[in-house]
Amino acid sequence: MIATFLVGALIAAQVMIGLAMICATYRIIKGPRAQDRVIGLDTLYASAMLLMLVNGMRTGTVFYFEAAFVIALLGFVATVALAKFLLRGEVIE
Amino acid sequence: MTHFETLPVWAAIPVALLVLFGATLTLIGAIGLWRLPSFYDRLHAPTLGTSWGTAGIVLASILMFSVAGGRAVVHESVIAIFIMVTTPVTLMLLGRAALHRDRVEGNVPFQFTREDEIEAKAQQQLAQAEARANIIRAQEASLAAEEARVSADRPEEASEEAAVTAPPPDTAETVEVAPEAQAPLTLPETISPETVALDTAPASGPVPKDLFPKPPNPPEALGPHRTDAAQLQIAPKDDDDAALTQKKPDEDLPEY
Repeated sequence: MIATFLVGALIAAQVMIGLAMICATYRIIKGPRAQDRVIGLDTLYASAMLLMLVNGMRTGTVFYFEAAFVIALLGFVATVALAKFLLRGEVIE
Repeated sequence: MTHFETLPVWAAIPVALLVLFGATLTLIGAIGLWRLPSFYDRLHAPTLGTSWGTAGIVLASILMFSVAGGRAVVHESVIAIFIMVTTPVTLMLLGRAALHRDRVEGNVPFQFTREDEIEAKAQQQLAQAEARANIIRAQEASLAAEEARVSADRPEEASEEAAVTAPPPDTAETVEVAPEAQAPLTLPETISPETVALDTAPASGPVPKDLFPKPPNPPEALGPHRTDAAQLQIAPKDDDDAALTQKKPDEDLPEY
């Protein structure tokens, strides 16, 4: 009983995070300027990281945690690099 | 599904609520990213997902794995700390990049920038100073007209006086009197031009004709007005220049 409730909550959370990823993808595709696309990518990274965490909770394994951590790291590095590129035209000066 | 069966009810309900809370906040932030009108508004929306969205899901994960495993599992908090540290950094960099791009391209993202404010304030001060200077110029012009009228009136009167009262040696007397008669004249003149006009009016009977070759309003009597006008004309411009030159180095974009 409580297991089905918990599984239902986790699946609902995954659906919500999937919808959030769709919104971020809309902003990436539609964004009028480059900075809109970059912030859409940042949101997409964060949402994917959360999706990995919830998926790990649903399956009960810790390996999704590794994936979430890698996604968070890559999202930070990617967003900082893109912001630097928008600011200066160079990533590494 | 085995790890769900071992989870007690008192842990399952907070886990479900925290996960739903975090996912809902993430969705709200993404909807804000989709719907908000300008980039500077959209910059704020996803922080819902990266602050309490991440925190809720990470807390739920910690609680679930800790209760199910029978030991403290806190390695998810690494993700939470990392996200909470890096999100402000990335968003501030992104906001600065967007502001830099907007400024370079000349689309001012806000209605009034600081430069516009300074410019408007300088224009306003200049207009006020012009208005005050115009008032003072008008006063001086009316004063000059009054002087001209009085000095035009005076010779007849003085000739009458000379005819009635004064034999020619009287002029020597009036030469001595003149500075004394002039001294009380200058005092009320400092108040306003009207008093000057009234005092130099023919009401002051025994005024000698010696006064007329001199200007009835010597420059030092007009001094306060003139210096006032000069200050008013010059001082606000000085302020403007000082303000503009002080603000000039500030207007440069900061070095990143």
